[in-house]
Amino acid sequence: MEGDFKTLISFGLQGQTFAFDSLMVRNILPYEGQLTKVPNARNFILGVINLHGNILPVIDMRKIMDIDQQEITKDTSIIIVSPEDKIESQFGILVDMVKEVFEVKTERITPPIFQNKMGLIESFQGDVQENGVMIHLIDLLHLVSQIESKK
Amino acid sequence: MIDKFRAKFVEESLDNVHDLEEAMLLLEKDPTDKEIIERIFRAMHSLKGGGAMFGFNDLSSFTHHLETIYDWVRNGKLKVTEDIITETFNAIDQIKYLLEVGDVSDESEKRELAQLTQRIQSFVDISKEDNEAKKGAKSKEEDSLESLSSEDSKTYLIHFKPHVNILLNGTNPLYLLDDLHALGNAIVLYHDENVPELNELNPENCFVSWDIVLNTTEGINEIQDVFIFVEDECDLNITEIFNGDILRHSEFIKIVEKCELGQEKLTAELLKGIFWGEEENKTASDKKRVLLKEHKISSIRVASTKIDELVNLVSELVTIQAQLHLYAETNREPKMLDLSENIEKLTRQLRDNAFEISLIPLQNDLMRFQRLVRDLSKELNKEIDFIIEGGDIELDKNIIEHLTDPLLHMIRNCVDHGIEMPEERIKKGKNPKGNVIFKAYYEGSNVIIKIIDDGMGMDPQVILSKAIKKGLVEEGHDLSKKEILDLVFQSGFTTKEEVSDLSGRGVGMDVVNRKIGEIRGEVSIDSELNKGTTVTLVLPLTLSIIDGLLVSVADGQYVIPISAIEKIIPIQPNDRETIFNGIIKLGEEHFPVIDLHNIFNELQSPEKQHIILVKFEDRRFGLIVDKVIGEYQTVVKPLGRMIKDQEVISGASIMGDGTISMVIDTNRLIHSYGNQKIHK
Repeated sequence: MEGDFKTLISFGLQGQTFAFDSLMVRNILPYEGQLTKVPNARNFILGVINLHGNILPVIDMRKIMDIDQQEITKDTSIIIVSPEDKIESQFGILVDMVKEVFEVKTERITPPIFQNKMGLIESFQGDVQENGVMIHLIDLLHLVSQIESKK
Repeated sequence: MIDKFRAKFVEESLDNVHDLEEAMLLLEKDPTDKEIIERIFRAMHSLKGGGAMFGFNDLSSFTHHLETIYDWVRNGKLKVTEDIITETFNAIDQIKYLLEVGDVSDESEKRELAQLTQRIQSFVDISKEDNEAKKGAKSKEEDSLESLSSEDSKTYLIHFKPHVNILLNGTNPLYLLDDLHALGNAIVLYHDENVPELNELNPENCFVSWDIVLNTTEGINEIQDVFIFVEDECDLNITEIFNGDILRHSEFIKIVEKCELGQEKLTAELLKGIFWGEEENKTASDKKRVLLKEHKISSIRVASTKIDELVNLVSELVTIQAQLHLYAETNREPKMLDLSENIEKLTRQLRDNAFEISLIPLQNDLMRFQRLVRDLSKELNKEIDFIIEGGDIELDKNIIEHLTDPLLHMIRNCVDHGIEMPEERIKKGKNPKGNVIFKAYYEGSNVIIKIIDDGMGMDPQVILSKAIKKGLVEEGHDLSKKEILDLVFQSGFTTKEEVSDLSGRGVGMDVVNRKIGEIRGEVSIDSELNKGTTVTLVLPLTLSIIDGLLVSVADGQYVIPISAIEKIIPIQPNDRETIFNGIIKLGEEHFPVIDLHNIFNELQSPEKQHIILVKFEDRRFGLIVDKVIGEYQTVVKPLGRMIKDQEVISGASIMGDGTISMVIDTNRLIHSYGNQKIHK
């Protein structure tokens, strides 16, 4: 019996590599300053963008994970995700750079060795070693519920 | 009214029949499946019940026999056989036919129906071996033969000859023909023999005339109404030809063919001279087949998500069109401008159409309210008349979804707390029967809904002292009556036991207020002690499109709904210095202002600014902005639930160039930033 595969999209943030489940990723856009600020929004909400006529909020992954701000580079990207497969639930996540799309066997995903809280993220879904790099898997549904519970 | 319900019943029944057919096909495969038998029984049962209620008597009694079989099957008294299934299919066809025509009227059809009924009954009879039922059936058969009802449609011949200059007053005769088509089935013949040669033709004159044979259930007055605005501009002649439908009559089709070839002239005498009744009998069963095939679908049911999707796409199209127009204008390409203008026209029509589709009449909800009032008043031993005015008003379905709960709530309040017991009303010299009036009407781009009762009303003094006790108002403040009544919308004010004992109103009014606020509506309340209470809702027609004024504050662009704006006043930087305690003095006028720079945490610019004067309840507030850019019709989109807790911004709108502007909710803005002193 072959094990199940999971397709992941990895991205870099502060020298570390993280990944989302690719099934929840809808789009990847380069960041070109196209954000519109929303006044009085919570600090991790950078603003909104217009994606094919839909207005989507964009959050800053650095602020979510409580990492110091860094300057925008040409690699800075917005990952559009849709955790619940509805347009209303789509949003963008600003990350330092998007790395690659890859497949891993689910059995290779191990529970995180060390449970540590990073900002809003209470824990990671799992870790996977790929080409000698440790990739931390982030559960988007967990992220959304953390964002929604924080007022 | 009842016609509407009948039409709805037929529509729903056809769904039922469809379901029935599907279930029968399944039953054929597995005649013992209990679940399917249940399903069949249920479908038949609702056909029977509905049929009786809406005057389809033949349908009802016919389905009754059918239902009996399946009731027996259900209880194991009867086994499903090939015969039963075949006869049921025949019966289903008959049901379809009955739904089409109502009760059968002519003899041969009646006989056919009776035979079918008998065959169906025989299934039950065989196992019953009871002759009495047969006798009963016979007499029933005779009954149904006696109950005569005729088709209520009539056929008219309309001769319509517009005067030559009819086009000059802007009438398009073709629209009148469209209106006629809307009344029923029509066959239209035109006469163009008066049209002159092309070189003599004046395009502003009308040379054509029409003969229309119309089959409609409407009266002759309705037909005349179509021509009401052109009465003096045309020769009009309407004659009743026959009490029934002749459009499918073979004789009639022959005549039309002849007329089209110019061999004959269509006159009332000609049509009246033919006896239309006979053939209908002969072709009755043929007609049945034809009717079954030609069942026209006058309305379709669509999943509401599909409509949402359509509206979304149209909104997107509107935005893209604006971009195209902008591009064409900046590049000054005449050809492109032409195209863009044409597309603009089309998009506007498309938009209006799409939004119309998503409108539904309030009526459907009102039935529920009527029922609620009836049940509740029975329970409370009160006598109440629920009067509905303007129930045919249509609203965006998203608005109606949000509206149902608040309305239920308010009507329940009226019945529960507003209207007094009959004895008490007599003591007060009122009619023992109380009135709750539901009134809806259009006002500009808004829909106004009023719920009026003539009950005990609210005592401002009681509300005020209650509010003071609860710490919502400080003692010694002088409040106007309106301000006091508005206190019932405060969230801390309304806890059920305490308020309902005193004022008889106010249960969850804050919830109502919030819900209505969510759909950009406003609630206000007026009450006269012992005379009654009126709650007024002002609602937007649609949620997604508004006329807005585009302004800028620092780097950002914002849209303020035009409906809220009264005036735009330019101010100089030094005018700002006269602001004291949130009040600005301009000329002779004083009014409170809110500086949007402060609210959005932006820096002041040294340049000229503008005050946008907006209405808020019965006061006026000024909003300070930098520049006024212009008026735009914008599609308001939600910001997504992550930014849901935004107080001031109700949504965002995509501008022509693809950038996003925030839409300001002036009511909530003033509520949260400008109103503290008034309510506390």
